[in-house]
Amino acid sequence: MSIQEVRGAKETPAYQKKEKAGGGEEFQKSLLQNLRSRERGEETAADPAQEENRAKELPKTPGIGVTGSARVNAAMLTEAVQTAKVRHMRYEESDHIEIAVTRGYTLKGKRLDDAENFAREQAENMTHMSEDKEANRQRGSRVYVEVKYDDGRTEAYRVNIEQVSRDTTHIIERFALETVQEM
Amino acid sequence: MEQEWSYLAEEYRAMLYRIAFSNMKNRADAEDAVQEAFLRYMKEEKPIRNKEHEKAWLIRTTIHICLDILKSGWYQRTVPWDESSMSAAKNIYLPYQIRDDLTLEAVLRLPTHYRNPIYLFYYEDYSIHEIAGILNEKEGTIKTRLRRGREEVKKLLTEESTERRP
Repeated sequence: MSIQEVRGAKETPAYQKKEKAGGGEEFQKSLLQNLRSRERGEETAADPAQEENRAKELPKTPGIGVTGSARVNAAMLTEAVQTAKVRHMRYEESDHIEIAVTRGYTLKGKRLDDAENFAREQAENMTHMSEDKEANRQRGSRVYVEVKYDDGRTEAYRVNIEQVSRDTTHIIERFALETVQEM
Repeated sequence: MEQEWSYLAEEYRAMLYRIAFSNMKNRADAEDAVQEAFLRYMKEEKPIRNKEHEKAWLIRTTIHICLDILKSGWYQRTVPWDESSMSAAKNIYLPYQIRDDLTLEAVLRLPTHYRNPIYLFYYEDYSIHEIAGILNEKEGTIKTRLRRGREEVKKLLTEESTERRP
């Protein structure tokens, strides 16, 4: 073993020095920032623009994450498909179902507009819908889709039909289209 | 008594019949199993806590009755002559439309320990938690059976499609 090597080993490497110099201050700064934002009752939610960019960078292979109470399969999300809270809807309540035993899941779909319009109509105590409302209903813009996997996961999505291409191959989008056509 | 009977029949008969049929694969035995389950329900003193518990009790009892019949020496010596197991799926009247009869046929051909969890999960829309309660098994066991049962269904479907090829 040469003397040079022994000396070299005792010296602190350049990258460690750099970290020691700036690391403490940076850490303190971020800690104080965090404390201040918590005092103001702010959540550490990123701004929408950042979130959007992050969503675009999501890997194309299926990955599972958790947002709120809904589990999210990152690869499923598109502009038209957004996550929703899981309702644990039964087959009887669904407008359309698909059973995929060999792929390990079931799909349940319900048009949201029907239920929402019905509730609104009841609230307004209306007996007949105006022509405009009927036209809106015909466009049937949103569908609730629930996916139940055989590993115990349940995911829910809200699909905006107006943003779905008629020849889509996306599983959730295609199923949402079928749900609307089913009516 | 009569009121209770008609309530039970209206509420659960169709569903219990489908479950019994998925095990027995013939109409007469399935009907017998359901009737026996109702009779046991009426006779026995059972600590039913709520509707969900009542439903689970009836499903569990129906499955047990089916398994008892299937195990009995008498049943094993007889062959149902009116319905073959290949057409069993056509005799299950699900309250919704399914596109794929072949998969249901394959599910009905699975061994009992795979068939019941798969049938309840996919065709009767029960959760893993509920199935574990009904079949008195751990949730992990049900998950494993669902996964392995799915592989078995795939195998059966592949075998069938290769058999059909000229």
